Amino acid sequence: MPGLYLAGLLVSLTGMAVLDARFRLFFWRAPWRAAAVMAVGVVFFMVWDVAGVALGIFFIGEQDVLSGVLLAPEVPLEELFFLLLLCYSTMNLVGFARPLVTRAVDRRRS
Amino acid sequence: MTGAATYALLALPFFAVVAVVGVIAGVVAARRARAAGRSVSRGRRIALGTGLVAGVALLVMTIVFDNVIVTLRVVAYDPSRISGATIGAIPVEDLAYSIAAVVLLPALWVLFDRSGRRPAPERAPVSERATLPELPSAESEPNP
Repeated sequence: MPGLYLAGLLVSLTGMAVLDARFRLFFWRAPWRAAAVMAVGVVFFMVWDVAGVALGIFFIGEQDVLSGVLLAPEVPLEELFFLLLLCYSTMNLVGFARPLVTRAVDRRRS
Repeated sequence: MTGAATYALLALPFFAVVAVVGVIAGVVAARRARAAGRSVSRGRRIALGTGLVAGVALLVMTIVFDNVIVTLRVVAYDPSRISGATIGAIPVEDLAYSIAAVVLLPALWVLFDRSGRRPAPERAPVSERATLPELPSAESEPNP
């Protein structure tokens, strides 16, 4: 089903935003700073992707779940959303873990 | 560049960039902590611990997610350019993205922090050693 992967990514990103809003993890903590981290992160990983494609390491497989829109040869539109999800998940996890680790560190020091 | 190590070698320049950004963020965080009279070692421990906890969770999530998209054949690999070591359906090299993300992104988060801008602090002593990025702890940041 074409578009299935994009739909899955958008649902996941929405879930990340809900968690972010609920626990004030990333954008809900410092929106501009978060946007800057996301922008640099996505560009960094996109360069990595393009290099991997150029070296012939990975490419789009025989599938029927992509929308068909390409950003570059072998780089589907979905890759942009995948990288957004990777970066958002990472920073939400970091935002969630930090207070827990902080408490654990302070307990051990006191 | 071809051969079974291609995918693994591709990660090296990106890991190098991540390491440099991580070290710079660590130095900046340590300098800020000193200027504010906070403990540098506590900040470092929190940063490393947070990276470890978030990193393990991210790796588990990545393994699940990538297995789904590789099984759906959204992405396919040239078998002659990967090591052949796999976790389920995915090449282990795939995990390099997550490892890079969990160091690079929190480091950028530290570097993009403009909240505590004060008059430039005294130059840190030359003996200052590089540390890993300090993630701002909950109490070190004013609530928005």
